[in-house]
Amino acid sequence: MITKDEYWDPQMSSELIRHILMFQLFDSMIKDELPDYSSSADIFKINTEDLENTLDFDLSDRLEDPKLPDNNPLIEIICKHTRIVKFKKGDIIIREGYYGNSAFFIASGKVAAILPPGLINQQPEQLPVKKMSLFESLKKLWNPPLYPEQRNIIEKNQALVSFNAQRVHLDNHASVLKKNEYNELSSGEIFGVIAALGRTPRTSTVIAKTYCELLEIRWQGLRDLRQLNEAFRKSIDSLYKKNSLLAHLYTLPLFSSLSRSAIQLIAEDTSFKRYGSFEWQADYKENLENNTLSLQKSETLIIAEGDKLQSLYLVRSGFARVSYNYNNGYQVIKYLGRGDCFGLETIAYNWKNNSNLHLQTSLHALGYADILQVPSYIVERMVLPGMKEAEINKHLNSDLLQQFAKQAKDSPVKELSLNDAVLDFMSDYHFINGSSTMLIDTDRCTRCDDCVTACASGHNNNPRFNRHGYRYDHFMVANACMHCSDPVCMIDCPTGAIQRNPLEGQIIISDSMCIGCSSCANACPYENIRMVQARDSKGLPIHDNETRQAVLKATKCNLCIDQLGGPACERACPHDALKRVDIQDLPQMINWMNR
Amino acid sequence: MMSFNRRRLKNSLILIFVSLALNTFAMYFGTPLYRIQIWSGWILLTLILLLFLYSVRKKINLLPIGKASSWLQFHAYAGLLSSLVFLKHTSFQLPTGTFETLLAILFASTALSGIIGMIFSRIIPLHLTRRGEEVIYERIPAFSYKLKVQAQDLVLECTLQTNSTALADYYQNHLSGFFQKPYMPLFHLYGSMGYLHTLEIKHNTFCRYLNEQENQYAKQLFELIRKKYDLDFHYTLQSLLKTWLFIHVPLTYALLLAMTVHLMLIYAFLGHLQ
Repeated sequence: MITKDEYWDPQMSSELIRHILMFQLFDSMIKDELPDYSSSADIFKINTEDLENTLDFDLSDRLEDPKLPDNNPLIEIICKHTRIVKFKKGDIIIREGYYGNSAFFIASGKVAAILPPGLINQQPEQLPVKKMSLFESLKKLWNPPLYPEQRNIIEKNQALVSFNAQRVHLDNHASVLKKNEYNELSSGEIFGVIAALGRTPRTSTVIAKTYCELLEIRWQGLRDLRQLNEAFRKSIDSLYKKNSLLAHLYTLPLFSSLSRSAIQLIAEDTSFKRYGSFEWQADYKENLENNTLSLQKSETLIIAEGDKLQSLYLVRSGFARVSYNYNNGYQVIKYLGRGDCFGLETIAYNWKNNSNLHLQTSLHALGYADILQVPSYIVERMVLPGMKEAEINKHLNSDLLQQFAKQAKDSPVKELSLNDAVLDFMSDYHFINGSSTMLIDTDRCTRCDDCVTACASGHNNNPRFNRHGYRYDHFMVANACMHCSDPVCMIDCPTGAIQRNPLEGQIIISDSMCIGCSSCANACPYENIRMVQARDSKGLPIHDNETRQAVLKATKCNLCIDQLGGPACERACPHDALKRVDIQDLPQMINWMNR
Repeated sequence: MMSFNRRRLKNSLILIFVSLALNTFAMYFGTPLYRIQIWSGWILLTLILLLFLYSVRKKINLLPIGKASSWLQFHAYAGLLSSLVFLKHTSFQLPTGTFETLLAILFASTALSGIIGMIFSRIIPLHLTRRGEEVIYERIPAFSYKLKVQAQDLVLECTLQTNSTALADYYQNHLSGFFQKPYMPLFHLYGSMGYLHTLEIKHNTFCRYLNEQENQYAKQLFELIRKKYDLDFHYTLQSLLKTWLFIHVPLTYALLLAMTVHLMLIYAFLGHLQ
């Protein structure tokens, strides 16, 4: 049974409702719910009793009643996904580069969003994940659980990541704000949407400029609100586009020599477009079943080979792959992730030689890709003239797409290198998403299962992966959580049990918050999440007191985040056959493959 | 990242250097004769205890005590070094007494089983990768049973559809044993396809007397035969990879026991030499 205490934070009061009602972003929705009140100011003046009457529920009853209100979706979202957080002047609210699962509405006070280059190097490092001590490790070793998936169900607060542990105060906040440019945000505004909705790291550090009260809303809440109300969805989407566009342009090395006003000018002419489906995993599974995981059949074309290039393409989030036509298929040259750009070398070539070279390669969205398109005339007028000759030549020579494509076409029976073939394989199966993919060299693997045993010893006597998976030649991508750059497993989690470690980016499941709904297991395109039956100390399945159903928990690899020494599977392999690799770091992976 | 060849070269050079250093040490401090035996004996005992620690490391996965692969490298090269020290310890002579012979046989068989295991570990995975599907050892009996059921269903369906028991009779007389359970025939050790070829010839000969519809079923049956053959291949080689440790590890324990007795005997009867 889910109790009130197991919600993310059950703090709910008339004050909280008032805060929510005063936000302009909620106005349109509120108007639907409460037609009598025309403005947020009016609503703010109402007393709790009026509010309860209007919303047709009793707040005090709701606090006592463990069941979620089922008659009002807005209230349900508020109950499940929001909490009020208070920050002192100088507290860091969110930190650039860290992963975040929530956005913040400002209820009162002011905050400062630091503009690039930001504070990232000045922040004290703090590890929010609790690791086992040596003594705890020895204790676990000495006294392992007798049965698989044995757990003490009454145990609370098992979350590996403590959200409160992240709070950092800057004593010198005044001088920090003096030294850095920032945007001041105040009551009624929202921030943190990009990371919350885009499944990407925070793009800016936000500091409390005064004492402030914020309504923190988890991304699940944002998602539900977007579905609930069209006006809210439009409002939040335009905010997302505007902020993510600017934030992205600020951080690009390509524009580093430009002034802030020049970047803002570029932003005005830059368009934002999403290619493919943000929830691409359903198509992926279907294509996998139908064996149509090839580029031309299942992927959205962004721009085709031979087209005239009119924009510079910047990948804001998601993945795209660059390929050229080869016989009757496509040969992948490389894939692009967040921060990469496409077409710069062609624009530079045309600009330098005053020619009209068309694109020699195609760009496809792999799953989905959020693309910013900067018109090429802007690049020619504002970016290229400011670049040094050597830098332009570097772009023209280092990324030899044109020559590469030409050479390949000249030789119809081109020998594919390991590099080419691995690229094809990794992008066909969408493994490029993985930041810690378990790669097994089956030519060295003796099938001893030491990796499996090591994994089980650290995780409730039950391994968190299968030594099985798709293979390219003698390299197997095992069924272990890859800690994806784009973790679609998080999309449908109703309680937020599956979350990202803010610092290192691992995807972890909080056992105590997991209600066993299987949403994440169903959403994971790679089938790397397994539902298991929780057992008590006698090895018997634990049943829910009310429903009499067996208690299920979602389990997956957590990269031994709580253990000393890192992933046990990799450390346990005696033959150097297993490695956790970041597929986006292709040279390192190829190096390992070619040992 | 260090390539395997470079690592092999580095470790071999270290092994040669340590062997030469130990030999120089023995020559310098080693006269009179018994001192060489005492020194080399203690070095051997230390090495064997260090080698034994590898099996302890394999059981301790939660502590940050180095990668198992580094331990295995040490285990392999220290094992080779211990063999050299053992030869020095015995002065390159065959043992004469019963206990010494037993001790020498235990050491030699432990070292030999280790070397053979290492060779298996390097060769067998290459063959496993290149034949059949990747299967988890513990699931092989279940896969074998599945194939048996599929084959039986197929011949039953053929009988029902064609009103002929020819394929069912053939299965009963020639294939039911083959599909019964996973087998470990020795010819799989060297990757022989001979038996499959024999089955194919027999099958093709039989197929000449079937009609077209039966032939379709016979073709599907032969696909199952091929799968079962590959499954047995995996079963044999994976069994080998798992079972050599059942020889190496008990031998190690026996060696440790015999060494302890040997040490006690040496110090019990060393008095007059000291």
